Amino acid sequence: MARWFVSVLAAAVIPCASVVVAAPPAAGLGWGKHVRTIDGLPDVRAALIADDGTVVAALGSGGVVDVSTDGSRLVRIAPWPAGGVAEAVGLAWLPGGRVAVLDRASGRVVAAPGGETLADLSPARPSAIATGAGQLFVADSDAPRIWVASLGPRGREAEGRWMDIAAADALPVRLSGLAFGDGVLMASDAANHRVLAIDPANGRVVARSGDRGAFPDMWQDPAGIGWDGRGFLVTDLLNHRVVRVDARGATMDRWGQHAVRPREGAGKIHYPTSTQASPDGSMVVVAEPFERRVQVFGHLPPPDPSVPRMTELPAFDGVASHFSREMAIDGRTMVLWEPESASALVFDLRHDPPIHVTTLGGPGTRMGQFGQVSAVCIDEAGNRIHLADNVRRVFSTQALVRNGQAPAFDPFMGRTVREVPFPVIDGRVVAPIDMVRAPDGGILVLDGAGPRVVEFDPAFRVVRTIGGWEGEARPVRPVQMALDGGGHVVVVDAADAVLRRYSRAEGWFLGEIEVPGLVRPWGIAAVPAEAGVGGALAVTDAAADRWVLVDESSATVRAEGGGTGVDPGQLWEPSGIAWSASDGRLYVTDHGNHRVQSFSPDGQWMSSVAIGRAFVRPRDPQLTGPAVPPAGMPSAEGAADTRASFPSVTTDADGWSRLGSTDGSFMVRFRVLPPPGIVVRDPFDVEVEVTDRDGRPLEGAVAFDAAMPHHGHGMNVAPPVRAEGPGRWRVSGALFHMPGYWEIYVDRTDPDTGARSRAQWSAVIE
Amino acid sequence: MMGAVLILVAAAGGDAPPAGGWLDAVTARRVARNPPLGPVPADPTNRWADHEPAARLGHRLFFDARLSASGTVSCASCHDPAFGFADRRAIAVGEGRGTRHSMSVLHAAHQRWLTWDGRADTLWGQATQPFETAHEHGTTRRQVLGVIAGDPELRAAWRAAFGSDPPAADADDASIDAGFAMVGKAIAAYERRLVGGPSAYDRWWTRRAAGDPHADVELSEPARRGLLLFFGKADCFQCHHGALFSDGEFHAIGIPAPGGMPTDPGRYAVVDRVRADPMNAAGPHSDAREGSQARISSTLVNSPERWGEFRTPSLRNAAATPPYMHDGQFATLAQVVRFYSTLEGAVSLDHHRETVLRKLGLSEAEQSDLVAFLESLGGSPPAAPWGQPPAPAAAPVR
Repeated sequence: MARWFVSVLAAAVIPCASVVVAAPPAAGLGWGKHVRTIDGLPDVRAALIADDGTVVAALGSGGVVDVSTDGSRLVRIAPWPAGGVAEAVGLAWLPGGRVAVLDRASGRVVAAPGGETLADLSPARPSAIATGAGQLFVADSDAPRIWVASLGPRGREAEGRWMDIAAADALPVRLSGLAFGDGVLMASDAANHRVLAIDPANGRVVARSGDRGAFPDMWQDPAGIGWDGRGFLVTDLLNHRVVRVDARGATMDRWGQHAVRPREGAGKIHYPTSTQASPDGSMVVVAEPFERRVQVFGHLPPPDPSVPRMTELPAFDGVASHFSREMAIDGRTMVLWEPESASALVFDLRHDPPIHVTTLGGPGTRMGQFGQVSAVCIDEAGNRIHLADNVRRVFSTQALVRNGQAPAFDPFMGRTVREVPFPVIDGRVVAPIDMVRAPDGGILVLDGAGPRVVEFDPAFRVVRTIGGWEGEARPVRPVQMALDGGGHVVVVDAADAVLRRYSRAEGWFLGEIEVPGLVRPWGIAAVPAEAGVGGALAVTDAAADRWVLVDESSATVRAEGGGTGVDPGQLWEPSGIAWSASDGRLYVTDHGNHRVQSFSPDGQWMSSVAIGRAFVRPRDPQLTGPAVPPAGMPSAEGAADTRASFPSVTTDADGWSRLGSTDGSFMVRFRVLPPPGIVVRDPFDVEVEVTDRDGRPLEGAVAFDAAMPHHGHGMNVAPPVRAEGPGRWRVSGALFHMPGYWEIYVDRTDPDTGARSRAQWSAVIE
Repeated sequence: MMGAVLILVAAAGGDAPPAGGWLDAVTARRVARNPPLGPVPADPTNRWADHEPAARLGHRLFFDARLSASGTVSCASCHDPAFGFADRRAIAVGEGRGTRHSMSVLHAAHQRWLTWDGRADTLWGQATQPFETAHEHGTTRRQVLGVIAGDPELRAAWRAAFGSDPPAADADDASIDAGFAMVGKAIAAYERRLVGGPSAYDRWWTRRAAGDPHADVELSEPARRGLLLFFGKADCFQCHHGALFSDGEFHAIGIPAPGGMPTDPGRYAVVDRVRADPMNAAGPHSDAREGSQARISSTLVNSPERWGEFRTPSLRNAAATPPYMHDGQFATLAQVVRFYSTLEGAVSLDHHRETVLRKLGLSEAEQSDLVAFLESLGGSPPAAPWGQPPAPAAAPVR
């Protein structure tokens, strides 16, 4: 796909008086009037707009470009590697009309034009940048801190320093956006769905606002912040809207309606990541990389009933999911991570199209709930699904309580087995980007903090770490990973558009695989030699809307599929890809079209699964019966019935009940008080004894929880759990406030490893 | 379900209406859990809860408009006996325009959580709150106690109730706080007497449970059909169960909001307040600080799912207290039932949220039958003297 740039000279200087907003919008006016859309901006992670309407767009590895109101484009920073910026994710005005560009991959801030480095924050992975009051601010995405430096007229005057953000609560902060206005530094905390107003002098949080949701003063993954002279504009990513808040984070105004048809625009918004106002406060630009576009908005006198100002959505039947990017396949099981509902969808691949059999988890901060998952892998034979949760910072292991009789949707088939906190290696918390399960059971994690690859055993104990690569061996922008036919680790580099191969045990760099024509590769899957195509690697190209099958040794492209569009077999921002040995197909998460599609290895589209519907390629009418998998594939077999492998409660004559944890690491004896048992809406206590299999008391903190999975809520109270002796605990004042089906959990944390295991049973309360 | 432990709790009370004829077994089992109201449950947090002299004092205070900034607002202004101890407004108006529809005080003593968002965990704690809310009474506790201390009749009633004198207007803060709690307890003692007589449904229930073959005359044909819907296809009993026809808990049902975006956070905004409220069941003025309600209130946790949740109102006497919902947007029971049937205009902001309600698709006749059943839940007004202003009235009632 040809690059679009017109000229290579990066000498543009936008005439613009200053960084600070001169004339704020008049009181009473809101935003939301759609002015124009600029398409054709792939991977546009951030944008600025000048007073004359020129939009400056940061395009990830595609450099930085200026787009004038007449549509002409001027390159400010050439695409990587020519421009020197590997992953442009943020922009901020500098004095004199220059722009500061945040390069996440290298941890640097670069001025454009000019190219000088204003800050080098590596190995930190910064997420957002802002300027104001003569200062430069950069947020770290892995730790709650902000870099502050003074700016002179042409660059840095004083050394910068890290300023720790003390949020005064125990929640792990994940800074995603930053803006400076009216003496306040406003940051979005995507992990906790809130905005933080910070004192730029000392990093103290002076106000915070928000919680997860779609109602007023609520957010779902706020991604970016801009200042419009009166308030802070926050892109509410998963609510598909922009909200303006005051210096304390309270909502002033909001606009944006969720785009529902593919590529729908004209003021509808779809996953906005960044927003900025023009310095004179007359226009706002919103970047939507999902749609490869930015939209420009102007003022509206409120209220204008014709302008959609909320995110009301049509109701869907069937699976109302967006089938995001992360996916994994093992045997007949496919798991997709769905960010908007913070849950994992499990599909049965014995059927064409696959059947959604259950959904794991949901949003929240407790064990068994999820923040945002960045990587998934499956051990079907061992009945384990592992998910890496980057917000809660745990590896969550789930199991399926599966009735093997017939595939059926059971919303509560999943069970949380265990959670292991991310380890700290060489002073840095592991930050999983991708996860792969090796045939020998080892679990390899592509770690963004490095970058490095950490290998774990199935219990998530660290086995080894490889990485610390330099020069040609170092992946510039690692995104996904696979194990090839030789058992080597292959990492996709989205900036260099190459694959890099390393030995699994020692991490030796074994060379690049240069695939012709790759623009922005993302997903990768190994296709075994037995598939009839030889040892090959399947790679998705998110920018070219296609996937390619590459010979492992010669790097020649043997087959490809896709093409830009929404029809069956076409793709938009495809991301994850996995090989299904059971039916000899490649499954691709067609992220931009909210669906999963399958292809034969020679490139033919086979099936699509989308929101509420699914369909397959029409069969050859001369074939009778169901489609036959390619020769050499394992024959169809029933799903294992796993129910018997889960412990069940036994009640003894003395009124105590006994149960083992799902992973067998502890036994629990429990008794509900007062007798005869749980009465709805009446507080009750539970006496708990935690022992090993031989009945000896076990150390380790114990937690108690309960939930009504049909209603998606737990208890309204948090009963204290007090130690009463070795391995003995008392839960005081639990309360089931509604009748119905309750699941009850006792969780024990292993004091040596920090791993948390769960014992689970259920009760129906009348 | 692996490892399920089935715990059954027998229905409280004695016999229930047996199945037979038009009443099938499944419905009969559910009807058994919606019996007539029993006696008002004990309130150990209020030692004067059942003390009649305290109720007489509370009766006077409830109707006394001097306990407000302008001297024109009493509890009865919005909780008017003529309107079922509610008012007919969508949004209450006290000293100023309020934010929600006034709830009926009838049977409030049976509820665990008081008001739409459950901001009070005791009846007496709730009674203190409107005095100091700007748009309700707009006054202060010191001024309230000043009125009482300055009125010989109220002073006498206070002495009869509590055996001591009310604190003077210039007393120290601790005495004022304690006295204010006693004001609440007196009003709560009065409110505990606000229970209506048996409704047609109650008479039917009791007669049929006793084996009376003519019990069914208590319910009209439409009301009987409505009963079957209420406990069957319309699923109302899921939240409106129990003697009170309310589970006493909080749900967000997505009733229509202007512009499609609700603005009232409901339960979400008060959970932390309840835990910290000095007038709660665990606080210094409670007479059962270690009791069951205290434990519940001090371990409450909030979560984003609580946003927009409101307490299930009791359906007893509902027909006498229009309009309906926390913002009074439905003027009639027919409109309420139509909303549940069609979900027209329901708020839908997130297509992943599980909704509590699903469209029922009831016919016009079915909707009308449901309304007939709800009308059968109305009973006679509370017994004298409690159901009327005290005689002589201490001040004009607005």
